[in-house]
Amino acid sequence: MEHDDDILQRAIEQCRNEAIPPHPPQAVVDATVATLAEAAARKADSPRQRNTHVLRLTTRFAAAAAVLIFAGYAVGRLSAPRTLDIEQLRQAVEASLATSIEPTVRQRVIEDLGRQWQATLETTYVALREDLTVQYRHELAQVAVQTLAASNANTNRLLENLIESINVADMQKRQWFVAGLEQIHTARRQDNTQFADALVSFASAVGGEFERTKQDMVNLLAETRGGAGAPDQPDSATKD
Amino acid sequence: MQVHDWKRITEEHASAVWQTAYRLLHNQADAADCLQETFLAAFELAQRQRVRNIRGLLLRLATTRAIDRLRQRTRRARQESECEDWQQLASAEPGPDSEAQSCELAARLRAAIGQLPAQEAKVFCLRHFNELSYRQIAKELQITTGAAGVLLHRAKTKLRELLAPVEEETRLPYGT
Repeated sequence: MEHDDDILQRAIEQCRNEAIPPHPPQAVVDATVATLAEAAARKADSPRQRNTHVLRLTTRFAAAAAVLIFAGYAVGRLSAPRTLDIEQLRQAVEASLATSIEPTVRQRVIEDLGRQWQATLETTYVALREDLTVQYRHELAQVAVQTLAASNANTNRLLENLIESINVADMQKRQWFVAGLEQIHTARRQDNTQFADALVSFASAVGGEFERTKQDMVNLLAETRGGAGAPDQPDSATKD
Repeated sequence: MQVHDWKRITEEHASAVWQTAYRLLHNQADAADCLQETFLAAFELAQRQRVRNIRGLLLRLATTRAIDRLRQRTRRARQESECEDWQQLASAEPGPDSEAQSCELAARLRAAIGQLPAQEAKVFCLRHFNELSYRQIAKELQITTGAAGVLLHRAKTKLRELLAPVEEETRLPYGT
């Protein structure tokens, strides 16, 4: 719990310490003052405007007063010595009521209806604004979703192209490498053959020279011995 | 009937109302709307009844309007989180912006206030953001001082519960 207190207190402190513009924008203040002035002007246009409760009380009071007047008048007329003309009395009371109360009641009913209409319109406006805001956010979200989807598809296509290019380049390099190896192998075999031929030629040449040297040595020995008789002719000398 | 100079009142108290609304909403457009609605509501109220403490009334109305907007945001966020398209595209990993936001205690506190019952949220905000005493809060909300204390206690308890998961998440990487 102590830890929770700490986090709540930290959250409150962080909220308190956030940078808040000290004053509202002047345009907002001006708009508010203008709205209040407009509302005050609306109120001033109908100075006798009161709330519905007061209106109903006034209407009831007027009706009760009319009934009392009518009752008093009727009692007075009935208590008078002369005979009472009920029909004439009724017409007079109706006319009196019509001239005194009806315009007031009509005007107040109209004003009451006007206020109710205004309240209804304001409520409708607020609801409409909320609906439009929700719809706007929803459509914005859909656009963002579609944009992201299109972007993903495009990115995937570009990545596929890149991978394909890398594969093609890799294949070409591999082919070049194989061709190079084959060429090196062919050159090596050719070099081996030439080297073997050269060795054979060299060996045969060395063999011939060796035989000639050997013959020369025999001749030299024969000449060196001299008078010991004619030297035996070697087989090789006859061959030469 | 009382006669008020609304131009003077607006210029005198606009800053306090603005700061109250902005601290809760943290958005200039919403705070501006809230300011206008607050003064208009105060004007309508002053036409119907006598107003003794215009500053207290304005702060209470601003707090109420701002909390209403916070609650609307919470509802809207729930509606938007149910959008199937987003769920299809959303990564399993949180994005950098949501990571940053999840670490923002103040933003979480605002969201949590939006989930409180209206009366508890009002008491909490008036107490901790506008620094009103229990007696002033009780007077403005037309409740008893004891009721204000109870509502504040409930609000703090619920806020602790709502903020607790954040604390667990932030503690996990350190193994404490």
